[in-house]
Amino acid sequence: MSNNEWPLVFFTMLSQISVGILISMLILWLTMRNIESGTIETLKRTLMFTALASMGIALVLSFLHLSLPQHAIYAMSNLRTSWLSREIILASIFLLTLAIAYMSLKYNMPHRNLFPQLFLASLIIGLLLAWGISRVYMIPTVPLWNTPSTPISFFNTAIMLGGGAVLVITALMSSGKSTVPGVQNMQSVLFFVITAAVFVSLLNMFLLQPDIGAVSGNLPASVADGSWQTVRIVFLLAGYTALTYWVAYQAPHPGGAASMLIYLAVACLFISELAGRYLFYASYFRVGV
Amino acid sequence: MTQLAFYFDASSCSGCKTCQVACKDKHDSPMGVRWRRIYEVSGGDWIQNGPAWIPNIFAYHVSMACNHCEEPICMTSCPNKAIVKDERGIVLIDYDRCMGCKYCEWTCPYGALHFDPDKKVMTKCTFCADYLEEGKAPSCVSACPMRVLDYGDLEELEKKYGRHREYFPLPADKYTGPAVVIKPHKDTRRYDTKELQIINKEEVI
Amino acid sequence: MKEFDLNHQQPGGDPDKQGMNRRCFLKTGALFAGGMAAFGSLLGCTDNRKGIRLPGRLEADGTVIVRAGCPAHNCGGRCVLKLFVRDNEIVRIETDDRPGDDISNPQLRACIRGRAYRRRQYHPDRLKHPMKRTGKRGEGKFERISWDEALDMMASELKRVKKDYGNSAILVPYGTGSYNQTNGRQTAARLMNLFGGSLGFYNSYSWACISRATPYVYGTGVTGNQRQDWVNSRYIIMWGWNPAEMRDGTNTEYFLKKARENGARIVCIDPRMSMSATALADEWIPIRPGTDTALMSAMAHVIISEGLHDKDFIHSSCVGFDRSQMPEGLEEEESYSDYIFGTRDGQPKTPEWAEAITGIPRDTIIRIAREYGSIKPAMLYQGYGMQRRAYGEQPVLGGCVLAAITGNVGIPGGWASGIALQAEDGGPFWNIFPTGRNPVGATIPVFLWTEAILRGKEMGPEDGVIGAEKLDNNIKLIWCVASNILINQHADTNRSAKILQDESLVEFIAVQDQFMTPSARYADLVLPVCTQLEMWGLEDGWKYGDEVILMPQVVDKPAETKSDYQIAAALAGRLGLKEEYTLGRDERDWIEWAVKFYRNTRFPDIPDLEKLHEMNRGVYTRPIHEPKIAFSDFRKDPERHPLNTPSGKIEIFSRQLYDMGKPDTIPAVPKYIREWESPFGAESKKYPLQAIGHHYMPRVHSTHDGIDWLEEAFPQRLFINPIDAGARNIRNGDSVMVYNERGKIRIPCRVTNKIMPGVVNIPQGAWWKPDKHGVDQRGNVNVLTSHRWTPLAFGNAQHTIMVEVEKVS
Ligand SMILES: Nc1nc2c(c(=O)[nH]1)N[C@H]1C(S)=C(S)[C@@H](COP(=O)(O)OP(=O)(O)OC[C@H]3O[C@@H](n4cnc5c(=O)[nH]c(N)nc54)[C@H](O)[C@@H]3O)O[C@H]1N2
Ligand SMILES: Nc1nc2c(c(=O)[nH]1)N[C@H]1C(S)=C(S)[C@@H](COP(=O)(O)OP(=O)(O)OC[C@H]3O[C@@H](n4cnc5c(=O)[nH]c(N)nc54)[C@H](O)[C@@H]3O)O[C@H]1N2
Ligand code: SF4
Ligand code: SF4
Ligand code: SF4
Ligand code: SF4
Ligand code: SF4
Ligand SMILES: [Mo]
Repeated sequence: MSNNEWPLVFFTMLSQISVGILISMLILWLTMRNIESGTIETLKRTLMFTALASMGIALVLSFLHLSLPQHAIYAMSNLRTSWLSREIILASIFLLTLAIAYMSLKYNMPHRNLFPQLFLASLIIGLLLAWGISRVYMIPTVPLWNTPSTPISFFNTAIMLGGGAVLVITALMSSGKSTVPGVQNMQSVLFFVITAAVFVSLLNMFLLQPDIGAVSGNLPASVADGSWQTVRIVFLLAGYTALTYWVAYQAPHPGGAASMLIYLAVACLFISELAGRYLFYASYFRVGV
Repeated sequence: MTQLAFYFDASSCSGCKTCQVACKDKHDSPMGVRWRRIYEVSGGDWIQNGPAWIPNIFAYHVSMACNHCEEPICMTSCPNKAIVKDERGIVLIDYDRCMGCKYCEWTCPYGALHFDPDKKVMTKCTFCADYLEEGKAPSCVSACPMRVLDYGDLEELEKKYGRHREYFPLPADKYTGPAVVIKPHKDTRRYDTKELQIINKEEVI
Repeated sequence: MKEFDLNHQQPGGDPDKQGMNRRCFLKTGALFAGGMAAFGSLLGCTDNRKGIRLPGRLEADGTVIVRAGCPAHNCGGRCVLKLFVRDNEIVRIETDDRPGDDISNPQLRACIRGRAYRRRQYHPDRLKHPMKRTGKRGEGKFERISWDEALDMMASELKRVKKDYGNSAILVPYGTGSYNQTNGRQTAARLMNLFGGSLGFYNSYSWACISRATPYVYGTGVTGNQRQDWVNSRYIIMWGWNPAEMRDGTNTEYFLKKARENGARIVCIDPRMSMSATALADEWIPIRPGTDTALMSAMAHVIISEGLHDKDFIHSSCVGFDRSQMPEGLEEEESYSDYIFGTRDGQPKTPEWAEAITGIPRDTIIRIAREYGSIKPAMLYQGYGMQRRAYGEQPVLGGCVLAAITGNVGIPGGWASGIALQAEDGGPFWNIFPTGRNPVGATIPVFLWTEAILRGKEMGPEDGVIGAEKLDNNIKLIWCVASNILINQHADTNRSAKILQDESLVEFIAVQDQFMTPSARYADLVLPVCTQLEMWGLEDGWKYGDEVILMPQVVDKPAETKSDYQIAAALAGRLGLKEEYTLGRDERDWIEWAVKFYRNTRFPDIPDLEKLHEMNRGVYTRPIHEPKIAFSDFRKDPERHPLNTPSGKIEIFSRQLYDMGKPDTIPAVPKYIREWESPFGAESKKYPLQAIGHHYMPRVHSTHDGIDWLEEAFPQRLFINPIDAGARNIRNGDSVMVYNERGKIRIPCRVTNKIMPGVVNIPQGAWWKPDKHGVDQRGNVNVLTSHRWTPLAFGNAQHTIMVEVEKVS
């Protein structure tokens, strides 16, 4: 992987986190009933803002990767055959709908009551975007990318880190307070979501991902020798252990230094995914030359 | 529509890289930009038998530009429609539309796309279209001291030399339908061989 | 014995005569020589050109296309460049575009170096002003001075050394940077000869052994058929020969391709799987360096024991093959067959014997011996790398003998082996610019110039000195033109540097070049020279060729650069020799003279300069439809057309060599002699790897080193086999230290199967770049090479060395 792909690492991860936040919101929406509406409102606004900011930064970063950003005006002109073109248009629309949805919440513009519809629209476009991002990488001539493992791992990043982000925000909201009604339930739900994602992640790593060994001659040493893979697994397990511990022993008693553990746990998950993404880019090699 | 194509006779290519520099000079390509480049391929082992060494070694060179593919994956993947295929079948990059995202470079299985750090756009072999218009052969073709490069209409070249190109290190045709005809070297293997490697990677990226 | 010295004409005769080398004397005789002298006055130059006249048409964008010879460095080829010139700048370089490219008159297509010439021409490091040394010698500190000061300094040093020591203390060393007539060392040689002479030398770094040894067998160096004949061959052995990379005359690789298309089977015998092995050969046979004569002997063993030798031809045309045809009075001496079958030394030269020495499986030896012995006609073509070795004379003789005993001499499709200058007249002239007779008669073997610095006065015939009983001087002044031999290209760089550093030995060194080369760093005075595209010149083929290539000036000289001729002419003015030196001619006038010279020798129909220039084809050629065959007369009737050997026949056993009385190092029949540094000797314990330094594609020796497009294509590095690399824990791309007791270099490596185990290759010619511990950082193989010379030719044995390689972290 060359250095100029770092913007792409962050673009993909941040846009996936953005989508993931919406996914978590949907899950919470579907599972949560009796939460105090003030908490809900603040949470919604904060989460929508985080998703929006995350996506906004992602798009700015993606521009850094271009050498002639002024020619980006043509970037949506090949929707017919180019997944990259589709990704770019989806990302732009996603950002737009996110912005409108957020505005409807915050400034009542166009109207507050439209939020559910706008939220759903954003979510759907976000999911399409996540799919689009996967497809950009499913290049027929790039064997290690052109597998179902790519969308699975990309969606999984969305779910794990989106869930993680929401978890962190709920923890932030309740920090210093003895209890916020309902939040603990939400956190349990999110814990289950992340648990599923961690499981899928391991499954993907050990069962789905194409065998790097067969083509290791074509790959940089850091990919072939598995050192990054080790980083990835260690941080995943460390993060998840910390998370479990936190959920079991500390979440019921929010406030104070205790919440540090949740930040640490999610940071570990983030690092694990970052390593995974680095590996993903580094495992690029084409058929042919 | 016609489809222009290169012919390359691997059996007598020495790997002298005159074609590479002829192209660089013609197009003023900066360092690192090699629209035509030469892959050095080798494989096999040395077998010791008493005091003797038996060389079970294969090696050959492949000089490769852009294959102006019939279904150019670079073109279909470019978001900007900056890559076009003209009526001669030549695949060209429109520098006024390219934003330098380098996506095409990921997709082309022939390593044909080279980002130009000065122009800040993706560049590649133009088939020396200006020379073709003047009725001249492409610069690389008329440069080759071994006379192993040629060009012409794909169908005619295939009629003359057969439809051969799925040789290592080239991939199977199915991805892009490359417009190139290759005469194999005695050591040439099919694209899916495990016996060979490109051994001069640092010279061709 | 006549010397065949292609890289250097022998000074001799008067100005307008001695430009001609051996052939013109042979061919044109006295009548012509007289005529040439007359030219001088006739041509006396009334050229009042203003600016540079370019022959091409002006294109709409202001570009003019000029065809000219690629700068005549010692590159192995001679090609035509098509230069696109705009606003006094070369903006593009293409090559020969004459229509109808066929083997009778093929296009002279440039190689990578010619195509990249813009990057050399416009390199920011080009020398622009005269400079004198300020620091210690070799330290690399210089300050800019004016031309006046530079020329005054040079003139006064020359006068001083002449007065204090005499002319034989002056050396204009070997230097092959330019053969375009008006640039190059010949311009300095002419002036020195007018000034009273300088220490002469014979031989070359290229061909010392092959040019010296071949005539012992054949009485001549003209042993090669014209290349158009190669398509008639059925079997070709490229023996240590790599023409796809070293060209050996532009188009040689192309002729071989044609021969193969015509059905010839080609095998290549080389420790490396060279570019030629890959592109031209049906089979590659790796051989342990320095053991070629063992393989040749074993092949002879097979050929003779299986009766595949050409008995009739041997009987009618050779001497010394076996006891029955030994020279008179030497009947009891060891014949070739005696040696091969071990009748005297008890060791038959069997394939098993050779297998242990060469590393080639015995079955392979038997097979190629049978092939070469039975497929007719066949060529055994020798490269020059294997004669730049310890006993480099032996494989040359061995190859000639194999060709003779298989009857491949004097027939189409055959090949007599040896140096193989082109029939019927020896091929191109190289230099015709007349250097004049050297009044200093003493002449040394070219490789021994450092000896002549250290102990010139002690040197006599035992050191190869000819023309004098003893030298009467040590070298005190060096005027080095178009050469990097002082440091880079001579053996044992650290030794050369130490000798040159000592200002009490050589008192004054001037170097004339286009770049601050390692040799230039050791100069007291550095003079900036224009390139050959910035002044008028003319060249012909490299070894082979039937063409004259024009080199008109295409762009201005930059900054304060001057041509070598101008510098010598200006110096001549300071020495009071202006008229004699220039004969009133400028460079273009000399080229006009040169064209006439060619009209009177090889090319009677060549138009005059004006016309040639206007034609703008770059080259004048003589198409070859009926290639000449060397020794065809001798073959038809050996009695009526005897060879120029003592017996008039092919001397498989040489009485002349026998008479030298050194059977261990100069045997009378070709023998395998174990080299002085070898994997079989005690030295291999410490330094187990053989190192060769082949002539690399991106450079002409050291010329072109550091040119970006060429370095990008062919980076400098050490080539090592995976088995040797593995044993040293070295991975592809690692930096390694290569060393022996003469020096150390640090260089990145390429681990490749394409070189034989036990052998490493460090392409020769990289610019020496020592760090403060004296470790070369660039990879100049001469840091490791030895100064020891070969026994017969006093030639450079630079490829015979042992080294160790280590990974550096
Ligand atoms: N590209 C390029 N071309 C050149 C030159 C250059 O610098 N660069 N220089 C020119 C000049 S001046 C000259 S004299 C010629 C030199 O031409 P050569 O002397 O023929 O060239 P080398 O590369 O020294 O050697 C030729 C081959 O011999 C092999 N070899 C080395 N040792 C042995 C041995 O012991 N046995 C056998 N069988 N093979 C051996 C080497 O691997 C190499 O492939 O080239 C000319 N052409
Ligand atoms: N180890 C090892 N050493 C070798 C060899 C080997 O095989 N192995 N090969 C040997 C052989 S065959 C040869 S021929 C020698 C060659 O040795 P050299 O004759 O020293 O050849 P170059 O290294 O090319 O140096 C020529 C110099 O001339 C300069 N030059 C070029 N054009 C001009 C010009 O027009 N005018 C002037 N004034 N200068 C110019 C170039 O910049 C360069 O510095 O090297 C020998 N050295
Ligand atoms: S110029 Fe010809 S022989 Fe040389 S590398 Fe290119 S294709 Fe091969
Ligand atoms: S070779 Fe590559 S760049 Fe050229 S047309 Fe085919 S896919 Fe595109
Ligand atoms: S780099 Fe340029 S040509 Fe390539 S895909 Fe991007 S915009 Fe298209
Ligand atoms: S056709 Fe022209 S642009 Fe293409 S590789 Fe050859 S020289 Fe370069
Ligand atoms: S072989 Fe020599 S003359 Fe020909 S292009 Fe190469 S460097 Fe120039
Ligand atoms: Mo040479």
